[in-house]
Order: sequence, then structure tokens, then C-alpha cells
Amino acid sequence: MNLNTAKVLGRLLRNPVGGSTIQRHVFQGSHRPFLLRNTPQDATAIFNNFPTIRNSSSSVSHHEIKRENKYNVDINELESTVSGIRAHVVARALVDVWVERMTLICKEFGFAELMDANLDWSALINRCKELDHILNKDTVGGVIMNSCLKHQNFALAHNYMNWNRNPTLSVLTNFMKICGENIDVCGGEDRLIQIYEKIKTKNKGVWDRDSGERVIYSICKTRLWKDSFEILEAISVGGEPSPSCYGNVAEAAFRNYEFDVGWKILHEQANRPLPDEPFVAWLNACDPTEENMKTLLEFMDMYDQYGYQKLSSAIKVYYSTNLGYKAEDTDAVPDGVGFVCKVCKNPLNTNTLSDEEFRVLQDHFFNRVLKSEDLFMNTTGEELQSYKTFIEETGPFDWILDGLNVSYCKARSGNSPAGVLWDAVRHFNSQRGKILIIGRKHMMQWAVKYINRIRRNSRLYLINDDSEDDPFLIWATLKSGPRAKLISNDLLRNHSFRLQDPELGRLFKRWRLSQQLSINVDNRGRTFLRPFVEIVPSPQKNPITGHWHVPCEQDTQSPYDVPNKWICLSPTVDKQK
Amino acid sequence: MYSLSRIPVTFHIQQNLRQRVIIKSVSSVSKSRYSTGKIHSSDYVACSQRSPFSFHRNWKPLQVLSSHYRQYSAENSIRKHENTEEHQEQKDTVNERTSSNEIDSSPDDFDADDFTQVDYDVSLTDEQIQELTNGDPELIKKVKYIQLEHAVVREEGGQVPSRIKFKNWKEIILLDSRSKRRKFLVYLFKTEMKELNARRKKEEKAELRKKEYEDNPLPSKEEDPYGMAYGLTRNALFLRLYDTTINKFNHGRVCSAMLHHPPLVLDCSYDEHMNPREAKNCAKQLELVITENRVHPEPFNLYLCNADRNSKTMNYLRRVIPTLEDDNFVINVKEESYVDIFPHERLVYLTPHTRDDLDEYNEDDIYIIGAMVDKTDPRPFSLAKAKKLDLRMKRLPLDKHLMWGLGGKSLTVNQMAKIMLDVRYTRGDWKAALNHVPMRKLCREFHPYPDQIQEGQSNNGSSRAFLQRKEKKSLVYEDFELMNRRKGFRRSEMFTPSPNRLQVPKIRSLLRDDD
Repeated sequence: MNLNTAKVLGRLLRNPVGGSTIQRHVFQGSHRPFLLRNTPQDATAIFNNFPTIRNSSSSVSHHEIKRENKYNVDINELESTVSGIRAHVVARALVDVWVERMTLICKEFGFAELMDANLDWSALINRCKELDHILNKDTVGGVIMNSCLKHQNFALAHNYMNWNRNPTLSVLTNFMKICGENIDVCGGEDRLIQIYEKIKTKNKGVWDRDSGERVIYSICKTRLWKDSFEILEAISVGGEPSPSCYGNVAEAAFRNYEFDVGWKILHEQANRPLPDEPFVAWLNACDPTEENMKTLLEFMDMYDQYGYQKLSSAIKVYYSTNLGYKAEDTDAVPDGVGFVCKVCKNPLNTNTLSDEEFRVLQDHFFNRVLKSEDLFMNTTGEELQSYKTFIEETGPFDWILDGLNVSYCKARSGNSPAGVLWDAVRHFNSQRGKILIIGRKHMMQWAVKYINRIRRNSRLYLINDDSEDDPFLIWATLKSGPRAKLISNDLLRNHSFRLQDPELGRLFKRWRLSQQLSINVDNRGRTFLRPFVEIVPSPQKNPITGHWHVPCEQDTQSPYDVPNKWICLSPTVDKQK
Repeated sequence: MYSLSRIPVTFHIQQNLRQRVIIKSVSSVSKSRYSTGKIHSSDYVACSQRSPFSFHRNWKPLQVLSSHYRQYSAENSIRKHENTEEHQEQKDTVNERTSSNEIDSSPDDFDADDFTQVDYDVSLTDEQIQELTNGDPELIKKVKYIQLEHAVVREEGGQVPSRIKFKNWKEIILLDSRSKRRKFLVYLFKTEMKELNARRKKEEKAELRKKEYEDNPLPSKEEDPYGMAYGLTRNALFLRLYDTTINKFNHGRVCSAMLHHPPLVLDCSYDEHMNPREAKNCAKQLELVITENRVHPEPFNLYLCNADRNSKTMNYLRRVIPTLEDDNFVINVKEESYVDIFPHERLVYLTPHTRDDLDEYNEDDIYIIGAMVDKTDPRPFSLAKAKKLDLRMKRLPLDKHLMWGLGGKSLTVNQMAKIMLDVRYTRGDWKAALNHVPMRKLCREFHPYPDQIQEGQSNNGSSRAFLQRKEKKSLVYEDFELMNRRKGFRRSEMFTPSPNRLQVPKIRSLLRDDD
């Protein structure tokens, strides 16, 4: 094989190409652009489809000899495929390519054979050391294990562990994670526990986050899953463990029928994004009753954790097999008055705040955002006082407009921003409600004609130029009661953070989605209002027909952090009887 | 006992409170290295081909160079004597291990320079741990945690320093998340490599210089009896200007500025809002302000106000300028606020968050610059402060004089100081002063001759050539402006019709006449 072919082959294996055009590309030369598709299956297919390449890499056609030599990969050839990479990661890249190549080869010949194969580890390690002076024999081992984990190649990792009898801590923990992922192949719980004991003697009860989380992943699959609490405690010395790690522990708790422990962990971690697995484990483990389902749905509703694809399919299975419902994917479609389910045509309720929740939000917003730690950051004391008296004397309002934001939405060509604002005010005047516009003092320099008209038809309150107008706006809306609408195109995200409490932040998000309207004024002065999301979702049961509707799948979320898919669960005929 | 591998290192955490992590070479070859105190030079030669911090290509291994490491190994040997018992234990276990693993086939085929090029040691002595943690068991746990984390990152081939200095321990122990600590370790690794390379280059240069002296020895008495040979290191016409002479001259100018020139206040009260890294950057910028003020022809009388001696910023600043608090150092460091020192009506706070432009520099006003680096927290602290103290607020007239491109309008402390120095020196020439605004923030797409651009083709190849042009330097500010006008400076030609633009209809009318 000459150098050019080697390069082409290397590139092929690095960036697998797909489709029927492969053959032409390879044999007509490498100048054609490659169709890049990073699926290892494709690469394997190519590798299998090219007897010439396969033969030339081992260069002997005899089957027996080929079997011995097939793992002897030319490292220089592989290195030419990583030539464009930055110098200090070149050794890593080489290991990665090598492991990838091994994975490809053993996908053809079977993983079992690789486990006992005679591999030339020392050649690889020596080359890596030459490429990167901070690596040595042991650290290359860590790099190899990382790559094995990435390519999910248990056999190769096993082979390395057979070769190196004194592995480092990081190699051990990485290997334990690979074993946890391939628990059927690696020799079951006992093997895992054996490795776990080895690790424990090495680190003397100190767990760092990386190795700790890997070990927790695997140990949760064994009978020693309760040890993970100790490890979690040890990890939290140097920072909070990741939510997926807690998810693993909760999953193990559910699998071992310790429901209280599992739910306690989930409730503690509910303000961080949780994986699907613990919930799926809960559905698998608990008794099939509607009550148990409700605990999950309440959790979802309470913390806005609607899960991903795995959870939605698990819910569907749970309802259809255990509870006798018929499960279908659905959407919310508008229906004159409100929204209905596309499948069963039952109305869907939007999620609004209860009176008490609204009051809590109202109380806290003034102190935490408008006043905040340093009053002078947003406003001044006098201004705040005068604004407060103004709102109390003239309120409540029906429409609260963000003057600057509205006037900067698509302006009428050749018109002043004041003109756009006047168009909006005219629109709301026809709606018959009390209008409040909040702006800044420099707006007085705008066209007097329009400003006078606006003044005559609405309340205009101007704050100082160096004050922030969003908190004023939100507070005025909150003060005007749960029905008042806020008109602004701003997403107001930072204010939910400023409430300094995830609970309040969630309330604020729900309130904002239901009470805020985005505005657009077109060139002819027509005003269009649109809510940010069509319907604020929450899991709900129709009391009359008994239909359940569950919002799901956060990965298809809209830009406003809400799921937009629903599951419709209709009771079957037997159930209704 | 936790062993990283059979050969080079042993990671050991003792059971009692004498917490330390010792990484030691155990095999015979490494022992011999301890005794000679040298590092095998082929390690460096081998790695220098592709490694990121590779040393100079023509570098030849020198005996002197390993002094850096010799020091470490000397320390190690002392420690070895201290803990003979410990070491004995280690040896025993090593023997046990080797005997138990006789099948162990792995590392035989590695040659002698298989050893770690650098030996890692992040251990702390008992006194250091006591000083670091004050006996707090939580912090002692964290020290162990960080040591383990260091080992694990290293084992995965990550970039970690071979040593963590005690001052860096103080910083790293405050970091509360894994990613922060990792970044800090990478930073330490890079500084270590930089230091190593600098040392190497210096020694190389010294070698060259020595060689040059040897090649050209001073003329003997017979050749040059009166010492009149002309040249470097020989007789010359000019006196050598030493750094101290220049410093004295500059300091003299600042001294006179302290008597006769207006003050410029740097408000150091934002320390609590900055993290250690930002405080460090801030101290660096303050240092630049002081040096730039010193070399400027018309310096300010600098005041560091609200300068709490124990704050992070002041600690860092004292580290870079040890003479900061000396009586004869030409700067005023005050713990009290500027409001107590100067008359209230003369103070003007410069903050980017206000809407009032500073149209003219006023000699009677005292300008305040907030010494703050706000990389993480974007809240308008200086605005709030000025509002609270009821001071006048101004911002630089950036929009009046510059075509702004990307980036925030807040500038670093030293840029602000430079701008104020120059606007005063040039008697209100903002265009000259605003040269200190970094060019990356300005609008570079701005074309000097707008009527040459056809619609939809503003970004063709010619504008790329224009982007690559470098700034031309000139001492005369007007010339400078003229030469660099395409750098995004607003010019009157932009708004008044240029001669080029006027010509266009003329040509058309000529054509019409021909028709």
C-alpha cells in the first residue's frame, strides 16, 4: 500500500462516508469532496465492502496468518490521519484513532476474540510518549481507557487490563464504568465489586468527582448500591456532584424498592435538569396504580421536569399495559375559545397561578428585584417612592406597555419611534382598557405630535435615563392583579434569576408566559399581539371524560423552555365500565 | 498504599495527620538520578519535536539547565532522610507487590528513558497544612481531595503543574467547582512551562554572550596602550544611560505633578465584587496605570482611594510593586474615600453606564475611575456608587468620535487613564485620546470612500485587504489621524459630500451632452 492510499484509507476510517458513491470516491482519488457522516456503522460497512483494503492492510491473504496479524496496525499510517491536529493533542488523537480502528476490526471478527488477542501495546505507548512529553506509560493508559469508554469497546479495555497488571486509579475507575455499561459481558456483579474493592484500597476513602461519578454509575448496578451515598458525600467536599449522578442513585433505589429514598433524592435535586432513568425505574418498580402515576405527574408539574423521549415512551407503556388506557401522541390545536387535544377534541387547560401563588410572587418581587441588594443599581429612592404612590393612586391597569421596546419593534418606514408607539396605543384604546406606558425621560425628545397624542390617550410614566425599566414594568403588572397583561418582546429571563429562589423563579416563568404578549406593528400601523407560548402546559385529567393529557419531551422545547408535545391517554371501554 | 505504577511514582497518604502526597521514584535508575541530581537530557530532546511548549529548536542539552530540577530532587532526598521509616515501608510493599505479580509481563520492554520527565509532588508539610486550613477538618479533607484530583487529571494525560506553590494552594483551596480547579491547574502548568522556557532561553543567551566575549577578547595592553579602541564594551562617545537614571527623571516629573497638577482618582472599593482572578487583573491594570502615568509628559497626581490594605487587589498590587507604600513612592494611597479628601462639587465619576457625555476635559474637575474588572458580574456598580454619593457622572464621548463595532463600551482602567492623560495633554483632542480604545472594538467594515462601494458588494476582497493593513505610527496626532482614518474614526467627509461624490453627476452630464 503506498502512502497516498494509506492516507485515503485513514481518512475513510476517520470520517466514514456513506451511500453508493463510496467506491468511486476511493478509487478515483481523494480530490473529490467526501460526504461526511459520522456513524461507525457506515465505516464498518465500507471496511467490509473493500476486500482489497482489508487485504492490503494485513498484506497476507492466507486466513490463518491474517488472524494473527490483523490487530497489528501500522501506527505511522494512523498518525498521518491526525497530522492536522494541534500538537498537544496529537498523542490523544492517535490513541483515539487507534481505538476506533480496533473497534472497526473487531466488529468484523467479533469482540470475544479481541479480549485475548495479542496486541502491541508497547509500540502505541512508545509512540505516544514521543509525540507528547507530558505523557508516560501510565498516563497513556488513562488516555486509552478514555477512548475505550468513548467507543464503548469493552473487549479492548479488558485486553489492556490483562496486559497492565498495575493500573492507575483513573484506569481502574474508567474500566469500572465500561464494565458497568457491559455488565452482562464483564462477569457480573462480582467482577464490579472486585474492582470496587481495589479502587477503595487505592484512594483511601477520598473520591474526586470524575472517578467518583464513574464508580457510582457502576456500583449502583450491584448489591452494594448504598455505598454510593458515602461516595456522594466524599465528592461533595470539592463541589456538587452532577444531577445525572444523583439520578443513578435514585434509579438504584427504585430498582431495589426503596421508594422513599429515591423520591427524597429526586426532590432534593429537582431544581437541576434530571435524566429520565430514575423515573422510568420508578414506573417499572412501583405497583401499577393511578396513584403512583399521579406522584410522578405531580413531580413533573411541580418542578417543570417533563423528561425526554425515554420517559414519554415509558409513560405510554405504563398507561396502556397497566392501567388500560389508549396512549397517543398529540398536539394542542386552537379551537375558537381555547385549545383542544388534536386526537380526542377535549379542551386543554392552560396552567395559571393560583391566587396564593400570585400573592407570593407579588410580595417578593418588589423587595427582591425592584429594591434588590443595592437600590441604586436599578433606580433611586425618591424615584421608587414616587412610582409607588403613582401606581397606588392611578392603578390598576389592564394593559402595561414597555414604551421603548414597543417603539423599537419593526418601525414604520420613515416614521419616528413615537409613531409606532402611538399606533400601538390606538390599538389598545379600541380594546377598552386602562393603558400604562413606561418609558425613559429621553423619550420627551421624540416627536411632540405623537407624544401629546399618547399622553392624551394613556398614562405615560417616564423613569430616569439610567434606571432599569423592566422591574418597574413587571411590578406595575403584578400590582394590577392577575388579569393585567404585559406587552413587551423582552424575554425577561434575568428577572427570574434575580428572585434568588428557584421556586419563585418557576412561578415567575409561568406567570410571564401566561400574562405577557409579544407585539408587532407592521408598516401600515396595524398592531398584532401574540402570546409567547400557545398554552402553558401542565399534566391534567379531564374530570368528565377521564382523559389524561401529559406534556412531554423537553428536547423539542420552544425557545421559552416549555415542552410543546403532548400525550393523550384515553380510557378504553373496559376501563369506563 | 496507592501506587500509580510499578516504576516511577508512589502515591502515599499517611494514616495520621501528617498528610502528604509523595511521589517518588523507586527503581534503581531513578535512584541513581537522585544521587547525581541530573535529568536525562534525551527526555527533552525527544519531546522537543512536537510538544506544545517545545523548547527552542537549536537547543543543546546543557548541564546547568537541570538546576531547576536538581533543586527539587535535592528536596526529595532530604525528605527521604526524614522519612526513612516510611520509605522502608514503601520498599517493602513494592517488594511484596513484585513478588506477588510474577506473571507481570508488562513493562520489561521499556528502556531507561521511560521515566517521567518531570516528577510530580503536590505534598504539603504539616506546618503548611496548619497554616492553610487552621486545623479545620473540612479544609484538610479538601486538601486531600485536590491532591487526588491532581493525580487523577495527570493520570489521564491532562495538563497539570509538577508543583503547586503555597501561594497557589491558598487560591486553589477557595475554588469550589471542578472546572474552576481544572482551569487553574492548566494555568499553573502553562506558567510553569513558560518559566522553564524563559530560563532555558536566558541560559542559552548567556552562553552565546560568553562565547562572543571569548571570540573577541579585549585588546591587550600592547595593542591598545591608551584604552582608545572604539566599540561596544570599549571606549565610546556616549555615556551609558542606566535604568535608574531614567527612573529618577520620570519620578522627578511625577513629583512636580503631585505639587502642581490635578489629581486623578482610582476608586479601589470594588474588591468584594471581584473574584481572585479579576482582582489580579485589576492589580495588573493599576500597575500599568502607574507606569504609564510615570512616563507620560504631563502626568496626573494619582490617588488610590478606598484602598483597603487587606483587600485582594491591594495584596496583588503590593506583590507587583513592593515599594507601593513607601514614603518616597510617587503615588497617594488612601484608605479613606475621595469624598472625604476632595470638595464634593469638583468630583466627576467616569462610568460607562450613564448617558451624559464628557464633552470637554475640565482642569478644575477631579475625575474618578472605578478600579474594577467586571468579567463575570455585569451589574452597574459604578453607576450605583456614584448615584449613592450624589456625584456628577460622565461617560467618554465614544459615540461622538468613533464608529463602534463589536464589544462593550466599558474600557479597562489603564485605557481610561491613558485616554484621560492624552485628552489633557492635547488640550481636548478626543480623536487623539481615543486612539487608546482597542481597535478590535471599532467598526472595521467602515470604508474610507463610501461612494466606491457598490450596493451588495461591500464585503468583497478589497475590504479584506483593508482589514489586514496595520496601523501607521506618527508622533504628530494630525498626521496619525490622516494616515489611519480608515480605522473606524468618524470623519467629516462621511457626512459632507466628498469631492469624489460630486464628480459623478458631472460625468453623467458630459455623457448626455455627447449623446
